[in-house]
Amino acid sequence: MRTTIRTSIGLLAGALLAATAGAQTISIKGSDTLGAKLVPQLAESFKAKHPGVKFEIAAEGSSTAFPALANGTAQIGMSSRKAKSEEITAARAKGIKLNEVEACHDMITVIVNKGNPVKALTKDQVAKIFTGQVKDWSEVGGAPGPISVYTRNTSSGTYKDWQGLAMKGRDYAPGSQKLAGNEQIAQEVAKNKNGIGYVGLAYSKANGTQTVSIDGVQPVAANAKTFAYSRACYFYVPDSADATVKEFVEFATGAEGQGIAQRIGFVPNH
Amino acid sequence: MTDSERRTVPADHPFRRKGRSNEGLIKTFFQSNAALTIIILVLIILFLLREGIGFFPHYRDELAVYRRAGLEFVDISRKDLTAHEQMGSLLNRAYFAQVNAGCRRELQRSTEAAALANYVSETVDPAHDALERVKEAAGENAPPAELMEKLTAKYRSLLADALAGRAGKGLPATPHLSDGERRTLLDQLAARDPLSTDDPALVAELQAAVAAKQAESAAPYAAFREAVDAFQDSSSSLTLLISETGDTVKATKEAAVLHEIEVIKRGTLLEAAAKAKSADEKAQLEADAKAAVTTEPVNFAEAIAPVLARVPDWRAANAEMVKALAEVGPKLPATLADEKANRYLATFRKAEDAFSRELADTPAKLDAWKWDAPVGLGSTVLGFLTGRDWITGGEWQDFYGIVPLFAGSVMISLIALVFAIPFGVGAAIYTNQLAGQRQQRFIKPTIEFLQAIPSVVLGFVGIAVLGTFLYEMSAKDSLSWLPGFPIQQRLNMFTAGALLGLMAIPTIFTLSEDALNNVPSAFSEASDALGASKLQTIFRVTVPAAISGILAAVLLGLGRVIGETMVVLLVAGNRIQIPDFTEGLGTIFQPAHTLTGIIAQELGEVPFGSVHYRALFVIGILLFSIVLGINWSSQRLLKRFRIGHH
Repeated sequence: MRTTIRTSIGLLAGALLAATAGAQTISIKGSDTLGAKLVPQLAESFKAKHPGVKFEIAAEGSSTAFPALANGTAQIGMSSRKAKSEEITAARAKGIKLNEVEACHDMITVIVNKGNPVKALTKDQVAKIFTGQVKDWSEVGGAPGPISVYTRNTSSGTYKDWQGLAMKGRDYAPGSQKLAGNEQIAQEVAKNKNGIGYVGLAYSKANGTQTVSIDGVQPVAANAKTFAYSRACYFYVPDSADATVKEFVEFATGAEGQGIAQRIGFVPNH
Repeated sequence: MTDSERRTVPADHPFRRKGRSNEGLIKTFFQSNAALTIIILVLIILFLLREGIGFFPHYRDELAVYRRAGLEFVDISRKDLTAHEQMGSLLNRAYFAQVNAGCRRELQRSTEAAALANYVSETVDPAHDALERVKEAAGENAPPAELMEKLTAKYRSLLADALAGRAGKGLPATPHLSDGERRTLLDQLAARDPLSTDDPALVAELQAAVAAKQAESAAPYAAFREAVDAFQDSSSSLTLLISETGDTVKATKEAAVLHEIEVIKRGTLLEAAAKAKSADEKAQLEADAKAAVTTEPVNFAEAIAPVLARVPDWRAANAEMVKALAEVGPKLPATLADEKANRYLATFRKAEDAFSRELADTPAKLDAWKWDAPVGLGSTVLGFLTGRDWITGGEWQDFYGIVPLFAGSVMISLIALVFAIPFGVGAAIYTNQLAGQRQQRFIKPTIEFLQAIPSVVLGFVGIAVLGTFLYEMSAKDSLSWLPGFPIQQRLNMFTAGALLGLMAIPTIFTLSEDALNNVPSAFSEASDALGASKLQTIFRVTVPAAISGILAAVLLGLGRVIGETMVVLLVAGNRIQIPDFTEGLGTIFQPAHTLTGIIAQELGEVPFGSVHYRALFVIGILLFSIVLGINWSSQRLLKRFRIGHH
């Protein structure tokens, strides 16, 4: 009897230990573009297959990914831009070597208020609007009204990407308003009939807004190759990451993960 | 303690020792608490100073590279280009305002029809989306008929709702469309294929009508258009020069920065190697360090030579713009029929002189510019305090000038005080002087309760309720006579100021009430005895006697407002630009960014120890000094002008 109790206690303890060993938390930090919709959904599907794995996702801008990776507070970094060499070095100096993995492709779409008759713009017009040379909708064929420009804030990878992709590296118009994320931009554009902003493709179907075709190309996933504002998004993973983390990244870049990406409105890797 | 007392209790008596040690313990406890608080305060100040103080030398180094690489040289002319673009934009807007003035009716008709079509499209959107997804998922195969049927039925019911105006706010009014047109439009929408989002024929027709009318009303202004185009085109050679030279100097700067990064990288790696735990890791890091520096230091003199060789080109481009500016004036129409167009034109004429002076100065500036002139620490500090640009995370050059942020903070605080002073002081006077006991017991805790609302909650109220309410209210025609109406932005200084005012009311109320309470009752009794009425006593005797306390309360309220972060971050609109004061009172409805907001928005994301990071700390120091100064002066005020307490 006593042996039975002992064995069962032993077994129970073993099972508990095994369970706690399996209960692992993966902390993912960085880009708002990836972290607001795509990564949480990937995490949900991954959890369904690997019970016991927990996720902590913080999406506050690409620049937050690298310090977190270097400090060891994140196991995976999300970024909508390539890491800068300083960021890689900072991590390397702390003994962490980062590997770059292409997560998916994204298109930055220009959105305007639903009531705006302007449905097409040229690249040149977009550059002029965001640098502040064009200030009134009537200058680009719309109903008269002063243009309100909404941009992401300076920590965002999209903020910098947009400068390179759409504005030839020029500075944003001083009159532009810097908002925290894609959702906020969509919200303000939906409220302001003279608003214009840019959001990731996944956010382009927000209520009250509509996308604008650029140089005649509609911003839909099928046009990823010809659309003017396409870019790649990345995961950054330390070389020393454990098996579960690597498995998650493989899952995200594999067929199923890419399927999820496509469903949400990203463009899968080819 | 006298000698005789000391003798009554012997020095080694247990009673005496006991009493003394307990007392001493308690004393030490409180003393250490106070000391700890002071030490923590000092540590905070030291930390702020340590992080912030390095900013100016670092920023100076950045500005030195900015100058040596020649970015500053390009920016001399870029300023002209920006001004030229603004001038061109004014003419362009004048032209389009004038053209559109002739087609107001067509525009209204088109907008109304589009709004109606939008309303219907939005209502049926869920069903339409679902249908599209099902069709997409089916791909080449025929979509499942049963599901399609169900969704189509859903679409029909939503469509019926939309056409009857049962969804949302109901069908938008179309006062400029005839009943027949409205019916046609609704019929066209009803007949639209569930899978299509194309505009109904009538909407397209009305848009075509707008275009035709625009062409018609543009005809008399063809010469004006030509003049505008010629003016705008005159900057093309400067634009080309700037983009070509810009690439060259940016490459120089990048090379310089890269070299610097590599040197720092080597340092960091060597440091890490010194601390490495295993020999292997150490060897690896040292090898990395050796390989870290791959570039030569940049020779700035050599890099800038080709840029300076093109000074004649810059002069030519400048001359072209000067000529175009001189030519455009006579070609412009004397006045335009539309009031708004005329305003733009007048603004252009007013700015013409300043712009032509600016253009004329440029060649001299180009000649005088020296790539190797040193950047002084004084001018760096001055640039920080008086700089009109706060540009960070840019591709060209980061600038840290706090004037726009400071202006935003000051404007919002003033708006807040305009709300808080009458409410706070007024309520204090009423409660202290006029209200009965029961009212007092109700009013005081209620107002003080305001303070319990977390600022982030107020921020949400600001966005969701106050901001939206004001934005929608201001769009009403009957209110358009108010300055700044209709409001352009839902998030603006006024909304933020109003909420901050609400937050300052309890502070001002409580302290003003205390001040009124502290006025000796002899004052009002004497006034009563002389036959003064209650109101006379209040405004001639009691309030003047308490004025220093009330002013101190207002200052403390200001200190609270200027240091508040969450509300301004959420509600003020985050536009880094000095408010455009030409709008008069309407200025308060512009968005702005603040000293506190910028720290909250950017500090979490800047690389640790970077110039940007330090710049935010300097702003922190500045804020700290401002609030300290305000609180100190309120204390001084209280002491100096206290009446009846001699």
